[in-house]
Parts: sequence; structure tokens; C-alpha cells
Amino acid sequence: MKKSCYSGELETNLQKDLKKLNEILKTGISETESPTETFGTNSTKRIDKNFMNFRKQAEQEAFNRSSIFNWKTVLGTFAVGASCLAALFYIKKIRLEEREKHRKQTAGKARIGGEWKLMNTEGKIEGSEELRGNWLLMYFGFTNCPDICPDEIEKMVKVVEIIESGKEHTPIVPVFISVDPERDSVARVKEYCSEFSEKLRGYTGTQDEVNTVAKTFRVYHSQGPRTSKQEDDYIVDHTVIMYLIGKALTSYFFFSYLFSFKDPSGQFHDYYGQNRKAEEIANVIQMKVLKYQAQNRKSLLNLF
Amino acid sequence: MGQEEPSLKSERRKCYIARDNYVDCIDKFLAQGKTEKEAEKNCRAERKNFDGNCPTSWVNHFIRKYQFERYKKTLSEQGVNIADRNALSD
Repeated sequence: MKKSCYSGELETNLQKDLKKLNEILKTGISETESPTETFGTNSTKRIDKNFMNFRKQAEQEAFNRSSIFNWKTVLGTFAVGASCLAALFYIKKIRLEEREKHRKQTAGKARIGGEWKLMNTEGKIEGSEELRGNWLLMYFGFTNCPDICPDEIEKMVKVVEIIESGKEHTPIVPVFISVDPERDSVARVKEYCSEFSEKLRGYTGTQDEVNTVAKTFRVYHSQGPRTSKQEDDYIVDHTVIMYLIGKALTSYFFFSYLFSFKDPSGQFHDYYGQNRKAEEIANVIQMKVLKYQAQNRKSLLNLF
Repeated sequence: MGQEEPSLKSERRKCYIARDNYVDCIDKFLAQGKTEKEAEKNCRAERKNFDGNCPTSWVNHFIRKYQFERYKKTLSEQGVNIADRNALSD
């Protein structure tokens, strides 16, 4: 089309073009229509009709199908969706429970404690095997400890006294394990322990033996710097924690005996930091003992 | 040291008494408004007693502990809220 800068001229041009196009369309349609008419009106009509029928039928069918299945599919989708959602929630719930259970289990079966062997105050080898079947309160320390160890051991002895004089009279064995075998000889540990209580059992050993036991109980210990004046004057930095080691359930003993499990003695039950008071610890232990007894009875009933 | 002494407990007690004497002495002079150095100067006799009755490592330990306790005290006196009790408890 010719370019023009006047809108009037453009309009007339456009109108002309439109007229031309209309004429072409009319002639074109009549041209295309004419050959179909030469084939015969019947055949074209039939073809048209069939064509239309097929299409209509298909549409009708599709419509019917869709209308029939519409409410069904809606219902179905809802049902499937709901059940899927329910299943999902159920699985989630189970997973959560499992995780919780697992968490509890791992907390309960924390890899703290286990079998150990050291030298007792009589110079004899003794350990978890000999102490099996007892509730133990264990504390790691050193006899040259300035103040924390004596305080903690006194607390431990007090806890034992509270519990043993309590309703259940549960015997608990307080245990002291040295993390400073270099200075803590059997004799020294014996003297040290006897000053706290007759009940307190002290243990020491070689550096390696002590390291192994400390590792078993995840107890950190590190020898501090020696003061220049005296060579064997130093402080040992160590974990200040009291461990409650208890019995395994009787049924567990039974099964371990049947299927020759590893010795289940020395089960870690609980720990108590420096901030806990003796009465508080005693209360917690008494609760633990009661719970254990109930559980043990239940597990025994399940056995038979 | 007292490693060869008959009672470890009595040795400890002796050391604690010497420590408490020294700490009380320092506290007394600090309360009078004296500086730490002045207080230490005035408590030389107590310090000697302290050193004589406790192993050197214990003396160092107790003094560090005492200073920390005092630091905590001044902090709380200044109105510092010691939120993390675990970190500051001994």
C-alpha cells in the first residue's frame, strides 16, 4: 500500500481495499461452493450430515461421559485425595512416633558406660563384673583435688545415705575412679576413700586402664600444668558428673543368657551435674528405682 | 603437701582454713577501699600461711576461683543480669 501522510487519503484507501476484499471473498465463496453443488445435492448433504453426526455424536458422548463421570470423578478425587492425605498423616504420625521412640532409645541407650576393670583398694582387679546387680553411683576424680571432688564425693555419700535410709532401703554403691593414676596409688585411693565413707569403693590403675574406663564413660580429663616448685603438683581438669549405673531388666538378663548376648551389666541410667543437690539427686534416683522395679515386674510378666 | 600425713582430710581442712583466712583478709582490706595490690601487701602473713598449708596448684586454683567470684559479685552489683547461670556457676 502506498504510504500517505493524510488521514483522509488513508481512509479512502482503506475503504477501497475493504471493498476489494469483500468482492474477492464473495466470488471465492461462490467459487468454492459451486464445485460441491455440481457433485450432487444428495451426496453432499449426506456427507455433511454424517460428518456433523459424527461430530455431534462424539460431542454428545463426550458430554454424556463427562456429565456422568463428573460427579463421580469429583467424588472419587475427593475420596482418593482424602485417603491419601489420611495415609500421609498416618505415616507422618508413625514416623514421628518412631523418631521419638528412637530418640528416647538412643537417649536411654546412650553409649555411656559399659564393662570396665580396674584395681580396687585391696590391689585386686575388680570392675563391672563384680559390681553387677548393684545400683552404682560413679564419680571420676583425683585424690589431690582441691575442693570440687571432696564436695562431690561428700554429696555422693549423702545421696547414698538418704536413699538407703529411705522407704525402699535401696542399696547403692558409691564408686570413685581416679583419673590421676600417676599420683593415685592403690594405698592413696584407699586412704582417700575411707575418709569419706566405708561404703565408698575406690579404683585406680595404669594410665592406659584409666584412660579406657574414662573413655567408656565419656569422661574428659586433662592434666594441668605442673607448678615449677614441686614436680608432682598439678591439678587435673575433668568432667564433674555423677553417673547412675543400674541393673538391666531381669528379662533382658534372661534373654542375654538364652542368646548369649554381651553382658548387660553396667547400664547407664542417669547422670547428675555439679549443680544438683544431694536431696534432689536422691529423689530422682528413688523415682528411677521405683520405675525400674515396675518395669521389671512387667517384663517378667510378659516373659511367662 | 601432706601426702605422707596420716589424714588427707585434715590436711584439706587445714588448707581450707588458711585459704579462708587469706580471703577474709583480702576482703577486709578491699572493703576499706584499698586496691587489690595494697590488700595483698597487707595480707602477706596470711598468704604465707596459705602457701604453707596448701599445694601451690591449690593456691593458684583457689585464688583464681576467688577472683572469679569477686568479678561475678561486682558484675551483679553493677546490675548486670547474669542470664547464663550455668556458665558462671562454679
